Amino acid sequence: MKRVKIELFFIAATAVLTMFIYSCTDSSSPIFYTLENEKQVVDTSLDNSLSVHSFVTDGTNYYAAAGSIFYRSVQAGSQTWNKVTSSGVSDASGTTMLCNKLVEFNGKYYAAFISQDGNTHGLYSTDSLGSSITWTKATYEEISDKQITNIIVVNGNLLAVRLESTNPGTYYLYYSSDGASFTEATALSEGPVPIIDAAYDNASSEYWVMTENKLFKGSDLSGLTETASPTAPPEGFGGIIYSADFSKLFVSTQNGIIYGSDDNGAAWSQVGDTAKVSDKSVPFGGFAKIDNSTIFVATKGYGFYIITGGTVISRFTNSTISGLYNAVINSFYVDSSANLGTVFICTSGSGLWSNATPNDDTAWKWE
Amino acid sequence: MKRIDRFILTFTLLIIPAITVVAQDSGKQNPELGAVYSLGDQTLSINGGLFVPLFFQEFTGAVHVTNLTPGGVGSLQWNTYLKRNITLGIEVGGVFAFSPNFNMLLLLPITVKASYIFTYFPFDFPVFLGTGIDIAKYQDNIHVDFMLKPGFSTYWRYNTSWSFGVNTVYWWILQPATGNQPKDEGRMGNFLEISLSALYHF
Repeated sequence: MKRVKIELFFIAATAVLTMFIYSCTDSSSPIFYTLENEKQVVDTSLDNSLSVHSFVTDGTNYYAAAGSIFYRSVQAGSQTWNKVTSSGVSDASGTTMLCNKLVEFNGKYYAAFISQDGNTHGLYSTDSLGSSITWTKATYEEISDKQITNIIVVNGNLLAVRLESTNPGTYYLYYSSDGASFTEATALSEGPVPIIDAAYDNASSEYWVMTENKLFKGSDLSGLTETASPTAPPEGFGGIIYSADFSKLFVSTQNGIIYGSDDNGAAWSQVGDTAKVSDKSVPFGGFAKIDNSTIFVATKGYGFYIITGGTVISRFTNSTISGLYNAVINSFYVDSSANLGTVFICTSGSGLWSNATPNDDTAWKWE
Repeated sequence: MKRIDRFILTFTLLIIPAITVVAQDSGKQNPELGAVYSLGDQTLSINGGLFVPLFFQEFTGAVHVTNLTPGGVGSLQWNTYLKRNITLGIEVGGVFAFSPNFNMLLLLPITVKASYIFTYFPFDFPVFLGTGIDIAKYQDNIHVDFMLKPGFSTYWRYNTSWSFGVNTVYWWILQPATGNQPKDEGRMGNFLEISLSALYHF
């Protein structure tokens, strides 16, 4: 009997010792400390499960394009979002079409609409936004009544990407300096590959246009030519931005790598380390300049990353707000008027996020 | 190994034999025992109840709120009798509670448990200490920590096979800073479990 007790004691002591040793080997974030510092996210009235595609302000209100267009006042403390009443954008059955892109250009607002059945679509514009908006269809033949998948504003030009939905489909790029007449960028008849982003390198006075697997550049949009470097990974590109603060062109990829070039693309070098989460490469998206030393990079499923000083990349750290931490980010918007420096993040299925002090990870608000 | 770690290791290795020795010296008591259990008898129990987060404490002493809601706790426990009033066993459990943003904290303790049982028939009053590891999961983070679970219970013997009771258990979980974490981010978690038990003797 005594021997059994001694054996049991040694088994128990060994088990406890083993447990103790293994308990000291973990190095992930301190959970209790994280909980202690977690703040409840302020949540305004916008549906948190919305997919928000793009965002603008007219100085009086903010507008979020999420199929329907929603607006709220820019005034501090404004919490209530309402739906805009849109007219002039009905399909054949009289149903209001869905807005999936909304940008401001030369004091006017341009939007891409598509009907729920996908059969009716087009580029529309309006002189002013508000609680009700009257839209006017673009008259330019190649844009009017066509499916517009992307609208980009770059260096005083409005770029519209048209998808011709014949199998397998072809994307076309059109550009305009006045928003009325458009010209096709013929070098980018890209077959089934979407045109996703564009930038202007101020130092070299050259445009850069990105498809999912190619880069084009040229001193004007009519003379774009394909560049071979950096080579797109099999997963494709994510976004492009030129930073005057760092005098550098940044290109993101879908396999966790961000490239930088300070000689207009003659030579590229990787910025920071390859971004991985649980050994999976992070699929990057587009960029946004936040301030003179900070650039945000969107991801598809991992919130956003931050480029600091032009050389270091790190993931947004506040994992307690999983709606943003694990978000698929469609686009950023940085307010340069009413609330200077406030950043808005449009997500796919996780609503809209905002932060008046974007370098503070704990200050995000769920709109 | 850090000073605090050495202290905990020493304490752990001493506490179980100490309890055993104390228990052996004080076993002669209580004339009305009802069924008497002895070496080789075993019990299985299932427990469930309320988990109350109390506070976090820095290793330097400063106390902080947990920001957690009250949660739920459940566990399974096996014990074997070394004497009629001393048991040694293993407990595996689970806990959930929620953060201010309604994220779930999960705790999975695996402990070795030594009990000394005072009996006043038809009631048993075990006083116990559990020690082992706690696997904590929150969002993407998993932490494996050392823990102690002192507590006491009150059981009513329904018959020779079944007892039912209430447990009050203090959870003390040490989560020191590891790796590159700043030292001042280490915390000791303090929690309270109040649970009901159904215990089967075999």
